[in-house]
Amino acid sequence: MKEILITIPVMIFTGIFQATLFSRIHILNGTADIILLMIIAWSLHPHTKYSWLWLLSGSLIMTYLSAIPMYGYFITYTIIWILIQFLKSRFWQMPIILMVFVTIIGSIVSAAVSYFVLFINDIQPELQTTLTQIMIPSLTLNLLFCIPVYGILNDWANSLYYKEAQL
Amino acid sequence: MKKIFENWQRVVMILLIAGMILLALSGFLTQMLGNVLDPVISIQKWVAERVKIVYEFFTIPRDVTQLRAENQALQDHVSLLQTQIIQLEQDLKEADILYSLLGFARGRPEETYVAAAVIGIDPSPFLKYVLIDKGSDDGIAFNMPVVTEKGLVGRISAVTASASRVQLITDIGSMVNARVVEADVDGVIQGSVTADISIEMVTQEVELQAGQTVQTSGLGGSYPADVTIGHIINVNKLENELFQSASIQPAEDFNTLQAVLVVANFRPSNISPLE
Repeated sequence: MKEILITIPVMIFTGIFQATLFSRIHILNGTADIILLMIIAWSLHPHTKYSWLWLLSGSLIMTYLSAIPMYGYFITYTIIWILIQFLKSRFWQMPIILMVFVTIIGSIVSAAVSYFVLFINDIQPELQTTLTQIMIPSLTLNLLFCIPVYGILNDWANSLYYKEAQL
Repeated sequence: MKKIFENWQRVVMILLIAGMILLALSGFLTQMLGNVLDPVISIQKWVAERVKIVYEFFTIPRDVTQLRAENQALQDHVSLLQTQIIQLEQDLKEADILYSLLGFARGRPEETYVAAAVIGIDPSPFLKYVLIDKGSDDGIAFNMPVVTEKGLVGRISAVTASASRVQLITDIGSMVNARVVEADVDGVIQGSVTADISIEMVTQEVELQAGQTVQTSGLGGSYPADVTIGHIINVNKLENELFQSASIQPAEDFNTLQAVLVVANFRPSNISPLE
């Protein structure tokens, strides 16, 4: 129950930080996607039940903040979430490695989906520029942030479910 | 008389006291009193000094504590003042920005402006959009041009009641009809995913040079005319191509954009039925 209650405020605050702070931190033209990292970290936790709510609220907030057409973030985050559900049941003993792995896959999927939705909207970014100036720098930043985000959210989820178990 | 003789001791005593007073008043006892009092005063002085030392011994630690407290209070006060200085410097910076915007607005009295603060940046690294704190409640409408005192910023691409999204001219989807002032030639300003802008579709007949000013041409009716966009920094001219292009240094630094002006009375022309 607590998980449901905290989801919306946490995502709203993260969205605000994403638009004001993390969008200004960039390597070349790449930026970190903290919402994506939070969805990955929360979904990877073995006890969280409402990670789909994080996916939904995160997608809604990013769709509101970003001008990416055709609900690009919905597509990206849904692909990542499904991938996590698939991997979680098979590699459940290695969450930290899964976090790094899914972050890499997520960054690539995010860039690919953005490229694709721009492409079908008659905007054609140069592929090599996209790769060197956006995708690889974004991936680097996401990898830099993924461990702290995982640490914070994993501890938080542990404490949340430990308290709920006590109750 | 008999009584006097009976009380002769008292009489002698009174006479002695009267004599002493008379001697003191006449100054004959000063030397003698000095000799008597000097040792007493010396002793008193010695005792007073010791008492003072002992008093200070017990009271100075208390003063140190008091001084430390005062020092702490002063340090707190200094910290508060420093915070106020930083706040005032920020206010001054904001005031400078607003004065600049006001100067720009006064220079173009035919247009009405709505000043807005930049409150966010598009999280997608592919797009160059910013969020501003004014929306339809403040008279902002879709496609309105956005400028600063330095030049063109972009146009409104989405509006809510209290906020709007601005597509910057550096965005890959942005196209602005422009004119190179010195060469008197038209072209199209095109953004990119790397936030670099360039003027495209410039005829090969004219000679573009670094440093030439690029302004909006007003063609197409999407932007008002004669708003500065930037300066040419690099010309790309190939003999076998139909058009030449040039890289543009934008007049505005979009990384440090804090406040903008929305041209509220400009209604973009819808030429799509003619296309």
